[in-house]
Amino acid sequence: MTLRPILHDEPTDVERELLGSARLDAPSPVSRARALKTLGFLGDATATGADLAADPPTVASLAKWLVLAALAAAIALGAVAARRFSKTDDAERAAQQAGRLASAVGEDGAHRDAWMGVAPTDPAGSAAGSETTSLTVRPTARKTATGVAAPFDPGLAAEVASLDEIRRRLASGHAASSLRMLDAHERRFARPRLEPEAQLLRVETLVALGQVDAAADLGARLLADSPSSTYGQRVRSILAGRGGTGGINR
Amino acid sequence: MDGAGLTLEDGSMATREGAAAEAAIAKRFRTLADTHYDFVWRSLRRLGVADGDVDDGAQRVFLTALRKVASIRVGSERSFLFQTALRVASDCRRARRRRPEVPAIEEAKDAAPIGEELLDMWRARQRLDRILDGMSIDLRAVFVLFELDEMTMAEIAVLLGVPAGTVASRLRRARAQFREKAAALPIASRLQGGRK
Repeated sequence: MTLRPILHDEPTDVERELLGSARLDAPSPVSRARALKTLGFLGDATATGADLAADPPTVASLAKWLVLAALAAAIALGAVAARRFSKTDDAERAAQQAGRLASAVGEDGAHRDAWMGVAPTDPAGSAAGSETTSLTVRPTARKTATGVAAPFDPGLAAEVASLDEIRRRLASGHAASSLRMLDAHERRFARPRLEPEAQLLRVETLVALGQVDAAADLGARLLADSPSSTYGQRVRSILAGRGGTGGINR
Repeated sequence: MDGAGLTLEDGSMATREGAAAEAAIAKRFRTLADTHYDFVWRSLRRLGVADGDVDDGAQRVFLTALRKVASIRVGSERSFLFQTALRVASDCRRARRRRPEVPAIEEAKDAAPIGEELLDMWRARQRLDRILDGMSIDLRAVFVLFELDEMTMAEIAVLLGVPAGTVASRLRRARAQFREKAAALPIASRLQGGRK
């Protein structure tokens, strides 16, 4: 038995036309491809959704991930040995390791940044003005050399995973460690796509460490940048409740 | 406390597991985006996000999904995405109210020459928006999923996480509002709508 009734037995022409007009609601293939690319899928800006959907689970991409996993295991084992002779901070080491992983699959920062719609790192700082200030990332229409859809860009996933790890660290009461990981995170992601998230986490961490003035300063800057955003509201909320946690969670 | 030896082992293990987790996240997220991007985009548009904001809105939905992809239950992806789209649509509509409105039809006219039939459809789409804008978000979501996405009430109940009876009740009220407002459209609009 179907529960599905029709709008009513004899819809008027007006009703039919109104409902039918919703057929206009569809992303254009170009817009769709750009959005998916912006979310981390590197590929041809003009590729259609079908193109993207048909390509990904190839043997080549699977092999690439297997190689990546093997490299990660080898690097991790090497890091264990090296760590015995070094006092490098664990978060810093993780950042360096991730950088090597990225290099191993050919996703260097400049290449990735080009795809993510930000200018490559410029030592002279001339590209600073071109950096997006939006909370969402805007794609560019640049293409890969091959023009072929490529696998997921590990950068955004890595950035998310890094912030989640820091958040877990902070939640488990290790604020000092969380702060070091945030420093490492900022070095690792020179062109962050989730910068407001990281800044917000830093405010929380500073509050947890009892560095209320520093937290308030940073919070004020965030509020000035985006006073009405959800981030702004969260900054106010964190700073309003700072007395309860300050200096305790180390 | 970060004991030196313990931290060493913990750190290296976390990193090794982190690489595997990133690969798993990447794979699942790609499937998620490939499968549901059009649905999310369409839902945002039908939940009241202006044409010019839908791409950004869809990005926000998927960034949220990426952040939480590890905790999204298998089989609940569509539901998670729609619930997120509801929140994003709400934010977008609030932000849009603070900006001067550019009518979508004007944007379309500026963008390219447009046929009479398509122009009529754009006008009808604007009228549909106005009618939907008059509904509460709960009614609107059910109406859109049922009438425009052609989902069953059982599917909608699962998607929204509400009882089927609630879906039926909301749908009944939403339809009543839709019919009432469609009937109240200015005569010229109705003639235009019914001339084909």
